[in-house]
Amino acid sequence: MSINSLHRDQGGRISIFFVFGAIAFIFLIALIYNTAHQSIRKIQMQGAADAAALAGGTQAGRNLNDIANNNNTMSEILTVMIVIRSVLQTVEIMKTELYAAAAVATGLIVTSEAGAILYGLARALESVARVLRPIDTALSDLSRGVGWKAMKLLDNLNVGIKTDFPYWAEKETGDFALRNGADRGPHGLLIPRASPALDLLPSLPLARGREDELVDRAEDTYLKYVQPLPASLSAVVAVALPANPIAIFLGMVTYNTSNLRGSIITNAISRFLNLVATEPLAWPNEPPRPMLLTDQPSLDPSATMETKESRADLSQVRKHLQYLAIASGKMARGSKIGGEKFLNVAPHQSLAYAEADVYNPTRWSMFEQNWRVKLAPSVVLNEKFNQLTGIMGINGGSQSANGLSFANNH
Amino acid sequence: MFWSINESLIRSVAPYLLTTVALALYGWRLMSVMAQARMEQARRQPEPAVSGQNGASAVEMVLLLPLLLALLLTILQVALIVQAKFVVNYAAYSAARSAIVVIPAKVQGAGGVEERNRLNIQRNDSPKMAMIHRAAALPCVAISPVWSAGIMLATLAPLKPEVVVPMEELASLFPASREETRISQQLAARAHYAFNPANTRVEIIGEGGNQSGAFGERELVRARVTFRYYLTVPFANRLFGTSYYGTNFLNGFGLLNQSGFHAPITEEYTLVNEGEPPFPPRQDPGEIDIRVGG
Repeated sequence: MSINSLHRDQGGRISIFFVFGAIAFIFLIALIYNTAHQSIRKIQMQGAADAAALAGGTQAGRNLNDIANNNNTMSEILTVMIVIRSVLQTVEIMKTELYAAAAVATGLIVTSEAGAILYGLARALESVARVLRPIDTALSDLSRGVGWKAMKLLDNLNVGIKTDFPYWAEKETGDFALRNGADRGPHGLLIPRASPALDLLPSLPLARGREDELVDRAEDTYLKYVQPLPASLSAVVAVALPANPIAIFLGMVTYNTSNLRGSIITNAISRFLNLVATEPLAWPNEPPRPMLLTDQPSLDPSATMETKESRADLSQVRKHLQYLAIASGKMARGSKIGGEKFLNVAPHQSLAYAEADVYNPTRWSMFEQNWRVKLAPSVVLNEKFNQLTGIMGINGGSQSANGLSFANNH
Repeated sequence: MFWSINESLIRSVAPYLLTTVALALYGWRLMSVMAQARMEQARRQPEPAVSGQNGASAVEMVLLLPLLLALLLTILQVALIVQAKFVVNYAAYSAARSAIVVIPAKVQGAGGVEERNRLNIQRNDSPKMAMIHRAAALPCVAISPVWSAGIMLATLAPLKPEVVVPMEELASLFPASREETRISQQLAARAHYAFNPANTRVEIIGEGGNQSGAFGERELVRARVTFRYYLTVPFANRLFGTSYYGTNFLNGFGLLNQSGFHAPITEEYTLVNEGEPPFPPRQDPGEIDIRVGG
């Protein structure tokens, strides 16, 4: 090939043009791929944060439901104890009354058949009492009653759940963030809006409340079915029998519950009743306490509180049940192609956040076993931004939270 | 990575990608035809006059170069639109994600919808809509044009300090823009464009096209984001876009003013609404959770 022919060959111009076109084309495809990759990665990271928040919140919801279940079980055990003690007392009072009636009948009425019948009835009731008394003792003896032991066990279980909650919540959060695409550092963190522990460890706004509330709950659920009886039935029964056993039973239930509440029935009545029947139900030395909502939870999981649950400020309680989850991941690969112009400026390129609220749509009470979790707008982020940037190792420790509310997506 | 792209995005992007590929194939064909013709010419005339052939080739190039250039620019613009579609899709996701968490809190109270928290789709002063709009606008900053007089005049809004200042703070969060202040100013200018409600429009739609403002528990919420994408490629922007002032005879079909051209890009994303209000009606302490930024 001569130099002349090389000079004449014009194919080069087209192929240079073609090469430029091809390079531009490849560049464009890379750009599109890069953008798609980044936005998918960001959606994935948001999914990881959502999953992490829901996992941590679910842990809180489950634990609250467990504790509510334990509280309910405690009040149910107490109901059984009250009822059995009341039945025993009723039988004993009836027995005494029947003995007295039999004595009167045999004394006054010459034909002593009626007296014999009453005497027989009294003896029958005495044997019933003889069966009931060991059951009652086994159940509600102050030192070794099974009922008290079971309630104490549930109480300890509640304390254990509250103690372990921060560990499990953080573990679940990290696990779910990892499984859903977070791949850097601690994967996921669960940060409460308010917490007694370090301000950054999740906790449950609970404390061991007054034991009275177990009695309240027992009256609200089961004992309320025996209390409306006297108005309709006792009149009928009172005519049929010299003393009304149902009326006595209801009186005994009130006697036991008010003794548990600590309200004192007049001494004379109390002293008289104690002569003829077993003493009313009383709390053991360290009474079992239900775990209840409080707006000022303590670091000590077995701490007690003296205010009623219904007096807790719910807006404060709610702050303890708002959790922010943060999922951290590596930046999407290949972000160099588009350059800074196409850097997606949504906040935290490698960080996604989500807030989970734990709530109870039925009633905010630790006797209501309906705690749930849902995603919510994150107010926690605004309040905790400075702490968070410190933890995650991104700069901006001195930035104000007001600036970030602008970038707060949800 | 692409398997996780949702169906609606694929459906909206596919025609553009097919157009690009078709145009590219057509350009390829054009070039190969040209090359073939010249080679045949060279075969037919083994020793032509050097000057004569050069002239013929130059004429060919002059005729075909604008066509090829136009093709290349069109491909470039289409590709950029596709890229913008991905970003707007992410913006729609952000809006939907924001909507599902913002809507439920107390939209439906005990006595129906509470007035102070009504979603007010049609109005711009609703705090909830402001939050959702902000979520959609933020990703759109990446594909917004840098501020220019023409665009500013066209959108008829001066730079707001409450947009500029936080955007500068925000810019310092990103590793790429941490040292330089130049990027931060660019971001501020882009943010000004993206946060303008005229440029980023958000609609929140319930099941069955419901836009009343009251959304039920676990209802499907669809966010539709329409972004006015500024077209940057010289020739193709006239082909695809409309002027910010509209295209009519008075402004020479958009050519007489300096505002440039834009194409509206609409993307949708659907997510499930996040449940009920946190408090039952009787126990509600009555606090407002929504914070409006800025």
